[in-house]
Amino acid sequence: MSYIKILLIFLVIAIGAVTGISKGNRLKKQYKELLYLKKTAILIRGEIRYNCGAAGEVFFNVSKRVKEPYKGAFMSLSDELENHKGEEFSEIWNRNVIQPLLKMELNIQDIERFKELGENIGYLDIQMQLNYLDFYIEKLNERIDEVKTGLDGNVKLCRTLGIMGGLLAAIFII
Amino acid sequence: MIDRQVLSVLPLKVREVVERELGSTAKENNLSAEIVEEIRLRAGRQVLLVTGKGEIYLHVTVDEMMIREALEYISGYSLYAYEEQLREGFITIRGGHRVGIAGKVVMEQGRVKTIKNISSVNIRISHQIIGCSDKIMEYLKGNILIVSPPRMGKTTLLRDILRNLGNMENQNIAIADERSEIAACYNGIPQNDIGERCDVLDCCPKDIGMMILLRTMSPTYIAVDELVTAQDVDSVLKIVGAGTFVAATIHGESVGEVRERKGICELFERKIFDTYIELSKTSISIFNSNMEKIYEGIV
Repeated sequence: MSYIKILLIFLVIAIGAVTGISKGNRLKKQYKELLYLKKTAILIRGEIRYNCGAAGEVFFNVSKRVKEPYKGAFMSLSDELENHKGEEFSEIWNRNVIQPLLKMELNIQDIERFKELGENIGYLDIQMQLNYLDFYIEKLNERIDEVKTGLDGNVKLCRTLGIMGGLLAAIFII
Repeated sequence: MIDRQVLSVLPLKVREVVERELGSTAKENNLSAEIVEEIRLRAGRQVLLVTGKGEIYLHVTVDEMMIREALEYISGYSLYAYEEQLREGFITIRGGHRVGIAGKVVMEQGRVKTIKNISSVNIRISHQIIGCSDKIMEYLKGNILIVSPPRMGKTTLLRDILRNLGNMENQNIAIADERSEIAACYNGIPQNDIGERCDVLDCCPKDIGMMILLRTMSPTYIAVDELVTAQDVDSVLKIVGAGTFVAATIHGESVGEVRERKGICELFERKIFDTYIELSKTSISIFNSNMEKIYEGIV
């Protein structure tokens, strides 16, 4: 067996392993990001409940307590809410908050749900805002539970499948 | 020019017309944008500018969507944050300008819950007149009551008196600003110049606010706009009893008319006020506690 073939086999095994580990890590990251999204939603809820502030003030205050990309997203949302260029809140929300979140490890349903939150902020009275945020947090909890259940198993599975896939490909090469 | 804050709450279409028309109207009619007192938006009607010299209709008809757009800007896309103010029928925006609102009132358990189907928006442009009390400060002492009919400038005068008092040494002025008319706080920051030594309790019912300020801020003066209820009078009596001065305003044609008013007369019987200021459209008169005129001037 030539050195090149041996090198190729090791390379294929390594790629399989890295892919599996990376997929497992992404699952872990997704779980952490969902938890952080929940923390953010709780902060928004608290700001509305305690300070009864308008959206610009609420998101400016929350931006001081969250990390990127939420920090920058909420800051620019707060700024744009002052511009009054004839846009609906949801348009400003989507541009400033949802777009940056697309780069994160959240899946599309999680982002859609957060987008819906923006479409309902500002509608009716304070109680309505709090009820909607409670509803959102409840749905987020369900999603977190769903991801958490079997997280360790799924991470192991991804890693194992990655390594096994690499080994299988190596056998084919041999 | 009109304050940028006022323009920014107008619907986009109206804003463009106001900016354009105001420029041309100002040239044609020798009117200045600085004297615009109100901008009125009524669904189905043309935009109306009320100026010190008359009314100007602008060639843009307001529709429901425009009213909705204006409300989103006025409330920062958050009408929920103005529930309490909406019950009173107004919202204070940055710059201290007051936006009056009319529509369908929703009642709950005998009190106004909110106003829905809003069809009229009246933006009253705040005009602080710094220095308008300078001439009369030397005549003012002790507890002060300003009496005038609506829109004669009693709040403007009170604000300037407080500014002068607040810039004096050893004074602590506390303002119970129930309707945000005196200090015009926006996000807690006074938008009007109320002097160096002023503390503001914003959006708090007057009678409660006065007592809180008395207990917490060691004021030399407590100021309040528009004494109305028996509770307001009761709080004034308690404040004066505690050795703190009061500066207040009250709606009325004259001091003589107010002193006969039920609920208010006790303040006169007990000679609570040391100085009375009577404002009319053209004149200002100051009386001492014995109702002797000590000053008369032109507004």
